[in-house]
Order: sequence, then structure tokens, then C-alpha cells
Amino acid sequence: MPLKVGDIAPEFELPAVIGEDRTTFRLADHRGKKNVVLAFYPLDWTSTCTNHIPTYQSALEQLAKLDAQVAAVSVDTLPSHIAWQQKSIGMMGFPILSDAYPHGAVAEQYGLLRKGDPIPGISERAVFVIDKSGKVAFAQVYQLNDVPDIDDVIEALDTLK
Amino acid sequence: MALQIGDLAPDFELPAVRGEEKMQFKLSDHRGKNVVIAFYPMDWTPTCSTQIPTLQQNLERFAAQGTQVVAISTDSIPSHIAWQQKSIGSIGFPIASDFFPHGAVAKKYGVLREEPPVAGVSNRATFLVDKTGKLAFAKIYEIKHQPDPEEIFAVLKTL
Repeated sequence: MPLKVGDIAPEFELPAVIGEDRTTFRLADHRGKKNVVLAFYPLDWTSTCTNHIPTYQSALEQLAKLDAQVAAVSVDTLPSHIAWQQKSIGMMGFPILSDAYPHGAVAEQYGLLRKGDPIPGISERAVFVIDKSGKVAFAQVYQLNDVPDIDDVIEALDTLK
Repeated sequence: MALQIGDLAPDFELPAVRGEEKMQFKLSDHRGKNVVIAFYPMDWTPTCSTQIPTLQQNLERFAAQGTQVVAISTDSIPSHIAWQQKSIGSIGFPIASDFFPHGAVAKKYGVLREEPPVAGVSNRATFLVDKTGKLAFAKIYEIKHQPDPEEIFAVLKTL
């Protein structure tokens, strides 16, 4: 079952890139400081994801004003995340996390790892807003082919002001 | 390494792409041919971006000796397709996706790296399976080392 509003968001730490810079993303580092928008997506290099992830880049200033840190997560590797930005979606100014090994461990913690068709082992497309106390303030799982509406996230963050 | 020359090569079936064409690759379908299995760590990394095209350059020579080539990494099918389109060029042999359960085939062949610094990827390793399904060559390379296809041609001559 995917995580629900009001649940405590499970802590995790994953390798990540911001643009080409390698870093580590720890959810707990944001506790008490920032709201976190956590965007799970199925795979680099696929069409809907290529539309989904840049929506956060376009809204990055607006999200910063709402005291929110964005992080995107897929089961792809860091070299894939870097190449995907360079060759497809452009450079993102927020971390893209690699949940590659153990395969989809964080997606599994959040109840999102798909084990059947169309591609076993990918994450659902799902967006969470985690407030500064570490609680889930917004949670939605989308159809794999749907681009999540950024306004859903903005509205949720507005209520946390 | 668990597998030895002369051992029966463990059978496997994985989703794969040949160029952009999606397919299934099953080792035992190729009984009667020799099969070169080239494990590599990751799409989009420099050594792999030379290893796979080197096999492509030798593809006709392999075919002339009744030899099928297959490459395997733990990346997804969309990654394999994009990697060819945007980096290494179209490859004329299957590139298989050992994606989920993650690295299951690499594990069967004893080449999955499970410890840091680079955990969860396959070692760079080449196996040659002969027409009867037995291993005729097996070698794990240093992760930055480029396998030399002449090593395989030398063994093919003896088969």
C-alpha cells in the first residue's frame, strides 16, 4: 500500500546528482527546515517522465518560496541520470536520486515498487509532499502515462504556510 | 569464481533489444551455435561505451564462426535503446536487461558486485559458451579494463 496523508515518511538515504554533481540525499537532513516534494517516476529515457521531471525545474523558484526542496527518484543509475539530463531533459537544479541498488528499496518503503507489466521493477509515478515535521501532507499515485499536475503540489504546500 | 571452463552454462531468459527491436533472449535457444556473453557494468559509462562497439566491429567475424553475441547489464530496456541512439550507435546483437530481479543472471554467473564502491552492477566479464552449452572461456576483467575480442577468437579456433 502506498503511503498516505498523515503517515510519517520513512527515512532514507540515496546517492543523487544535482546536474552533474554527485551528492547524497538524506530525507532527515530536511526535518525541521524544509518541506520536501518527493517525485517518484518509473524510468529515465521514457516519454512521460521526460515531461514530468522538468515541470519541477520550471516551478523551482515558486517551490523555493514555499520553503520546499524537490527531489526526484527512479531506479536508474547515476550515470543514466547524468546522461538523461545532458542528452534529453536538460540540467535540473534539484537532486535526482538513484534507487538502483538494492533495487527499488526506497520505492518499496513507500509502497510503490511495481513487480508486473509493463516493466517489472519500476516505481509507480507518485508524488509526496512531506512537511517539516516529517509527515506526509500530500500523496498521490498517478497513472504511468499521466503527467502529475504541479498545481497539486503547490496547493498542498500553500496549506502548510 | 564459481563457474569453471567445461561447466554447463546456466540457462537464462531476459528481455533484450537489438537496435530498437524488443525481443527475448534465451541462451538455450542458441544451442548448436557458440555464444559470447559480454557482461558490462552500466550503460552511459566510458569503458562500456567502447566495449560494446568493439564487439559490434567484430560481429561479422563472430558470425562467420557460427557465434552469436549478447551483451548484458542491469540497466532497463529504455536505457539500452537511448544509449544506442544517443551514444554508442545502433548495435546489431541483442543487449539484454538484467534489471529485475536486479542482476539475477549476473548473480548466476558469479559476476554481480554486491559491495561498495560500485555495488549492484555486474563486473565486466566475458563468457564463451560452445555449441553443446558448455563454457569454453570465462574471464572477469578489472572494471576499467577493455576486454580484447582476440582472446575469444583464439578460443573459437580451438573449438
